[in-house]
This record gives sequence, structure tokens and C-alpha cells, in this order.
Amino acid sequence: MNIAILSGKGGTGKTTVSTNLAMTLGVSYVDCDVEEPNGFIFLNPSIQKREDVFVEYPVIDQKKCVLCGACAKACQFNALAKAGKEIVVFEKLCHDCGACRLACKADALSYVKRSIGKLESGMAKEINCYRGILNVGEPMAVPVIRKLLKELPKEDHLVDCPPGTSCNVVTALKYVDAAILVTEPSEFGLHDLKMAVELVKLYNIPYGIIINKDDGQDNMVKTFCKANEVKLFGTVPYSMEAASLYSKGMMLCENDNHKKNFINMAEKIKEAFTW
Amino acid sequence: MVISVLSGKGGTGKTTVVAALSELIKNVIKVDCDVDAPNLYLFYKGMDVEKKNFYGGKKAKINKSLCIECEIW
Ligand code: SF4
Ligand code: SF4
Repeated sequence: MNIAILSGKGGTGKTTVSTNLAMTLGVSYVDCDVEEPNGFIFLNPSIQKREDVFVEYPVIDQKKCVLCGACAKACQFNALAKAGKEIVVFEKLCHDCGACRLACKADALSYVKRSIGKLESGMAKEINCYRGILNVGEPMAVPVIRKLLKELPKEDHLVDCPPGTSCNVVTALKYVDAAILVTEPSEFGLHDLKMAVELVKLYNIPYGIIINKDDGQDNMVKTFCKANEVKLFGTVPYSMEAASLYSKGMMLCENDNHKKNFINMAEKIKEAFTW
Repeated sequence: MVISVLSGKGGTGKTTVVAALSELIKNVIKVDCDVDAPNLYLFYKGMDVEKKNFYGGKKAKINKSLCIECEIW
């Protein structure tokens, strides 16, 4: 079983919820937020494996190239341009699709690899931890996310997703069986939660909500859950203590005042996802 | 003068800072580039003056009568 933790809005507590739930449930933690992966700050695993993530981009053999421009015409990502007596390659725009080689009749194109990020894995206490890291300045996170998720061993995983609702999240959702949406009770949190709900619905997977920084009141997120019959797995309180533990990079589930809360949420999640 | 507000981590308060600063500076155009989850507009009541679709990349369409299903890729 793979469960995605997502939110729409950034900074609502995906990582807090995923790391603490993974520890509580005793399942693997996967950090897919490859642009800002910081789950390992809390879990602090000892890294056992590191590998680069490569994508390919074309290089042109000037001796064979007849400057017909067919490759540039075939490229739908503007990664190739004919400029005077040269074909210019914008390697960061290349989506590694292979169309340019098919288009080149002069056999002047070949592909070379370049690294855009890394995968790391290790153990923290009893659980396996995996993460992808996108190099700073790289525009495409999808190849890193895809490789990370594709190579996971068959076991139970909590997948900490990137914020937003774009292809980075969509890629992650393709590999999961259920989803937990984390939000905060603010106009902003609710606004982006609705977008995330719309996205999850497209996948026909079971899902539920956890409210972080919960004020204990009948707030707008709880009203939304009731009105739309969305399951609420639980809340993480808006408290000085929780914020203080978080700011120090400490786990809530290891604190006596918060442990029980995570055990309760874990039970509800297992029941809802019949897992 | 164009000033960008960025953070790295999500939820640190980019939108809050932009809204507050731009109100104080006055006479400034506010731009929400967080296109994935834009919510600067939630601070303001009003209505859209203009709305149009954005077209970026192209989408492949297969002509079934010509496709020979070679699966070359
Ligand atoms: S591989 Fe695809 S995206 Fe990359 S340059 Fe060639 S045609 Fe463009
Ligand atoms: S298609 Fe081949 S021959 Fe034509 S411009 Fe591109 S690399 Fe050169």
C-alpha cells in the first residue's frame, strides 16, 4: 500500500504528518518533494545508498549535420533551434523524448547523459527512508520523482508529495493507492485544499483529511469536511509546544503529549483504507 | 523596479509579505506567480476584469487511420 500525503498549499504540515505517521505506523517514508526535501531533517536516517538521476539530451555531430533543421522542427519543447550555421541545444529544456533523433535523416544526433539530481535511501530507527533531490536551478522535477517511486521495493510507503497540483504531484499520485490531505484552518489552506481534493478525485482513490495547526474550534475545514462528506482522520493542535518541537526538528510522535494523537490517526487511516 | 518575493520552503509567508508591503508602498502592481496555488487574490474583494486561457505546449493527436502501431519508442 502506497499512501500519498499532499496539501495544495505549501507549509501546511505534509512533512510533519508524513514523518510522524510513518514512524507511528512503522512503514517506509518517501520524500517526493524533491525541490525542498526536508523530511530527513526530522528522521535523520543513516544514508546507505546514493545514486545520480540522469536525463539525456542531444548532441550534434557537426561533421554529419547538413543543417536541414528537421530536428528543431520536430522538437516540441523548443530545446533545439537553428541559428545561422549551427543547431543550438538548450539542454535544460530537453524532455528526453527522442523525437529529434527520429527526425534526423543524416544520423547526426546522439544523446548524452547529464545528472539533474540524486536519490538517497537509508534507515531511521526501524523504518526505511527514501528521498529524491533535484539540483538547484533544474526546471524538471518529474524524472527524479518518477525514478524514486519506480524503484521502491514492494512494501508499505507513505509518500510525502510536493505542494501544488501540477505534474510533480500528478506523477506521485500515479503510484499511490490512497491519499491523505493535510491542511490548515485558514482561507488559504481551504482554498488550496479544494484544489487538491479535485485532483485526488480524478484518481478514484480513497482519501481523507488531517488538519494541522488546528484551533480546536468548529473551523472552516471541518465545515468543509462535513458538507462534502470527506473523512477527517484527526488534527494536530495549534500549540506552542508542537511548534517548538517542529522548529527544533523533533518528532511529535516521540513526545508523550502527542504520541497518542498519532496512534489514533494511524488507526483511523488503517480502518478507512482497509489496510 | 520589480521586486520578487521568494522563500524556498512553502508556507513561510510570501503572500502575507507581498500583500502587506504592497499596501504600504501603494501605487504598486501586485503579481501572483505562484500559479500552482495562487491565493494573493483572496486578500481582495473584486471581480475579474479579464480572463483568458493560457496555451503552453502542444498535445499529440494520433491519426488512427495512418498509425501503424510500430511502437518505435
Ligand atoms: S529529445 Fe525531444 S525534447 Fe529533447 S531536444 Fe530532442 S526533440 Fe527536443
Ligand atoms: S535533423 Fe540532423 S542534419 Fe538536420 S539539422 Fe538536425 S542534426 Fe542537422
